[in-house]
Amino acid sequence: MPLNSRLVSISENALIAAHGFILILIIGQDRIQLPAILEVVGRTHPLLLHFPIVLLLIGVVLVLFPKILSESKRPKLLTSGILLLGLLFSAFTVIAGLFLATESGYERSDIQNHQWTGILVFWLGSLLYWSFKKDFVPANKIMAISLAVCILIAGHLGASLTHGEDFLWSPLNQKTLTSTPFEEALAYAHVIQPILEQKCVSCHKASKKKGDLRLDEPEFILTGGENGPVIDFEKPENSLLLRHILLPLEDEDHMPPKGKMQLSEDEILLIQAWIKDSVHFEKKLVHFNAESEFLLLAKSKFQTQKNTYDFASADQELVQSLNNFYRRIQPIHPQSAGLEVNFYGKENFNLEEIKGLEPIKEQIVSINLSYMPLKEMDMAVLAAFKNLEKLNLNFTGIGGNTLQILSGLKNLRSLSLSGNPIAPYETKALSGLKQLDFLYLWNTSLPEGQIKELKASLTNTKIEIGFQNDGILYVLNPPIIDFDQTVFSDQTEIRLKHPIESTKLFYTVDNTPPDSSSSLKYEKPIVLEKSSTLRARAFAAGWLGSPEASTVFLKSGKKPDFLNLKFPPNEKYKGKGVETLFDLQKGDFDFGSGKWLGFQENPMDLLMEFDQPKTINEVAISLFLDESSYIFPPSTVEIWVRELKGEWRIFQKDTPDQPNQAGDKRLNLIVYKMEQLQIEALRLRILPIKSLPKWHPGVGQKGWVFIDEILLN
Amino acid sequence: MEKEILENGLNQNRRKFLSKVGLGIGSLALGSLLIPDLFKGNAGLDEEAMMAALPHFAPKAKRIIYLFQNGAPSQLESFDYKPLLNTYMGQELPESIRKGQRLTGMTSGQSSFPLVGSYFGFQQYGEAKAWISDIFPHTAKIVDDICIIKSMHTEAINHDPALTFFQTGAQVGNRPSMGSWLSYGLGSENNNLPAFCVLLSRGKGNGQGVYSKLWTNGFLDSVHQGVQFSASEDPVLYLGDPKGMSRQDRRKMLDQIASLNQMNYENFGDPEINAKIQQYEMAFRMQTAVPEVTDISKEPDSIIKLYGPDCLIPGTYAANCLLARKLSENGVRFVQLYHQGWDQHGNLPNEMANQAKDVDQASAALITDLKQRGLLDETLVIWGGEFGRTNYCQGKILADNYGRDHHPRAFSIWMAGGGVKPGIVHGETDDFGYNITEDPVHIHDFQATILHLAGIDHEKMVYKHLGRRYRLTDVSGKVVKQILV
Repeated sequence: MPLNSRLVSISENALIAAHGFILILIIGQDRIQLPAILEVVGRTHPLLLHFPIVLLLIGVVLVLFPKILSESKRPKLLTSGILLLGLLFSAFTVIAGLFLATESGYERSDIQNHQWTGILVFWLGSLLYWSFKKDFVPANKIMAISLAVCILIAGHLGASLTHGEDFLWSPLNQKTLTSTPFEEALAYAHVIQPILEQKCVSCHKASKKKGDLRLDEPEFILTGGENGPVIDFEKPENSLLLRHILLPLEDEDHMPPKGKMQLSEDEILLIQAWIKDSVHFEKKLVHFNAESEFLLLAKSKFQTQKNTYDFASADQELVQSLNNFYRRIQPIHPQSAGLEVNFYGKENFNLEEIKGLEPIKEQIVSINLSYMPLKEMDMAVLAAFKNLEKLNLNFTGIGGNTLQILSGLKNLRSLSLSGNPIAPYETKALSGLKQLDFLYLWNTSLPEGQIKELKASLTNTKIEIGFQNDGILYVLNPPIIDFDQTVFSDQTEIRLKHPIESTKLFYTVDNTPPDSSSSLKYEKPIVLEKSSTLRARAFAAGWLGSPEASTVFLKSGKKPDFLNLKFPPNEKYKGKGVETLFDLQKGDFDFGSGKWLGFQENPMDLLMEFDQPKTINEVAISLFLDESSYIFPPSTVEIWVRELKGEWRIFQKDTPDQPNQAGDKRLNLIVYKMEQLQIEALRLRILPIKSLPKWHPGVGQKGWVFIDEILLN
Repeated sequence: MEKEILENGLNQNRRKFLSKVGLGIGSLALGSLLIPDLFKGNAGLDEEAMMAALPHFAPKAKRIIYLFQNGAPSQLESFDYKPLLNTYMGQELPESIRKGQRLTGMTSGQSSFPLVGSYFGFQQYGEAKAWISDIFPHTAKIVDDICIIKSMHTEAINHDPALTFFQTGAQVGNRPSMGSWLSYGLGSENNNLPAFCVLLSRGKGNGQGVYSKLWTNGFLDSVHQGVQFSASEDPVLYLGDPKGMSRQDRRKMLDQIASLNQMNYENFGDPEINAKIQQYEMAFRMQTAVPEVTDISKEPDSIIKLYGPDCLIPGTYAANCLLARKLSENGVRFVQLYHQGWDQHGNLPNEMANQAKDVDQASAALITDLKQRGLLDETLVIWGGEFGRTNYCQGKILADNYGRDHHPRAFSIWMAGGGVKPGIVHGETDDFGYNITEDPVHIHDFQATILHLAGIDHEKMVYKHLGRRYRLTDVSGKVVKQILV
């Protein structure tokens, strides 16, 4: 193997040369001036060091247990080869390390230990190599073991330099935030320091003062680094510390440097708030201004500590067994021993539901009984829940001399009594509840004076009285017209309703606007015997009268034997043709439903003939009105009649009133008396308005007329 | 069949075993690289462990009511006062402000983008001196109870994707809605009512549709789907007994079905059968619970005054607000309202005033009402649309008319109660009301914050579906700490 032996000899020579070079470096260390290119070489140290560690450790194992290679043809060459390679790498590593050590930022003493153990590894390894080649068996093994120990020590010291002193063991003895209760916590020691320790101190500490800055003790934080103080008390937002943190990650000066563990969003906010809040070290969190941003941010770190109680948690299975569909018990949050109970479904409620909570009465801190029908006696059972903090009794109907019982609940912070008719003398019991933070008394019918007194005696309690009927008048909503049919044969019954019980309803059937003085008051169902427009409004004390509700009711009439429209209705609204007008199908607010005939270009000119002359008392025209949709009352209505053996004559010509503003969609009925004429034929001309009025967006355009029924009686 | 199963079981050999183990370890290693906290702590990403730990911390908001203003109300006529727009009325939107923002097809063809200021006046209210427009007088009264966020921004520019994004965390449908996630994460408070209810109303303004995909359970179990209450006499469809059927008859019938189902369950052991029995029972309980909750006839007169008389007309926004309070009071975890009609591309002054009239009083009433019952501190109320509107006019500016197109870069919403800091204004926009200058809040940040208030770490509530783990906040979202109590 000439090649092998040549390689070995070259390497051995290189190794000896390296020894010499290293010796020179050690001696002249303090006087070295490195060109930039060698600084780069120096910085390869953290990369290179892994090779010698691995190779030398493998070598050590092979020296200690040569049997591993018993199957190999040349075990000795292999072992010595690995050792040699490892030594060459360790030579490079040591050289690079010595270069790196000249850079500033590291504490000399810490480096010294690492440096010497590292060099020792190189020297010991070389000795091992030599003695292995010479087969000094016992010496080999001793040296191999010491080499391994040396490697571990050097490696650990190096790691401490880069990652921080207690890097290796820190996960085992981490000081967690939660171990300090919020009340005790200090701004620096329990909030800021842990962050700095985790993310900054590994490079800014006694042993490794990058930028000459230390962040491991308050005094050094205040001193600052090579660029001066890092905290600017005048302009906190200009503080160097903050500026470096807030630089974009890509920036060279961003801290922590790219590749190191970064500060989380929360941590940055916390540090920011802490600096803005003038950098307190010894201040307790509880002494911060309640509005301070720092406090608010820091608080969340301690949240899990809140709601801890001195009582033990209830047995989970017991809690589960007490749950039913109408009584829900659950922990106020998963880590808490406190339980809250909600009751639902008043029909399934009885006092036993509360008494059944006896086994967990200690753990219950919140009870919601709103809307459950409580009787006066029932209050007594609540006294058992000594740890109760929140009690909701809204609309439970309590009100007698029972609130006294609550004074035993020393932990009660929030009490809701809204919707209960509390008697004025009960305020005495309430004024004793000094422990309350919140008291809800809306809709309790307590007079103002009583509430004022209460507020005076419960100075630490926020009393909420809610919405007061402050005399603002609102408009009522219109009544609901309830009916079975709008077209009837003999008579029909109509009911009026309103969702507010206290309202009075007034109506007219003669197409005059209803009001509360001259109109009919609704007391019992209205019976209509002829076609009419029912118009109704609602009135109530404390409210403005409602807008009008109206519906047209049609009494079915005589149907002519012959019908003809001179002009067809508009193509879009032609329904079933002229028959639509006599099909007794009342149209609704959808004028495109086919129940309505629409006319715009042409008038409705309807000819109606009877085989036998008929007595007609009245003609009723049922219209739809919606000015926003261009649907107006007709401009002119003409009724032509031909009596028995008579000639056509105009009986009536009418011009209905036109609206002067757009109204809601509505139904309308125009009725004309006919004086009991004996009629053979009848002609009805209804003309849409030719030009929409000035106030309308479509001014000047033609209006529409919509008709669904013509009724002859 | 059994033979095949047996063979399959035996079809294991050393090579297969090793290759599987090898792959398994390899993928674990890869997984740990890709998901750094896979092995961190004890919870890891194991869904069951995560779900068992829910809520992750003490919830501030036990229940949520979301008053969604569908169609996107203009921030410039509500909470984001920009007098500069009135000064520069009719002048061109500078490109230095627009910065290439994409526009919808509705205005991208416009040759000019004239700035337009609010036709409504603004006043300052409350301790925060918040600007509120004159068309929201009732909201102005509760300003000290709400937190106005002026710096919302979204990614979508059209209604449907924006709405879907808000509700499900993704612009494309099929993900579970926010309410479904909460139902999944926290379950129901009251087992006699659905945990997630949906109420719809519609204003007179130009509207945009809402679809049931917005309250879908997505890939979650269907029990988490939102239950839509209708404005008819039957708020929950098919819940009432048919005429002539007594409650005892129904009980008997259910008992018989249950015993049949039970027999089947014992035979097959299919958990779905058990689920079915439970659902029948829940429906039976809902038959009494729903009418009790939806009955507004026993509400005191002052409540009618508070919400406005419209609250007595089923299907109106006011009635839905009142119903939302009643549902929430009865332990419904998430009540989702939608009020349609806020899409003012034109005719803005008129339509917006009407829309505001529809919602202003009742929205404010809801806050007051919850407060006077001592429920506001545990109920979170959210008011807002899916995006904002442009500071330039769509079409021509007239003396009494203008319109605004969609604008995703900045818009305003408000939140109240449930752990949200009251009486503050969060975030700021530039003088043109176009870009955010302070504290931007992305939709995912907003969702993360809501989950946080409900006691949920948004990164830890996950559901594995089709091979990937899903969250409401997808892969981002930061809790907006500044608005928390």
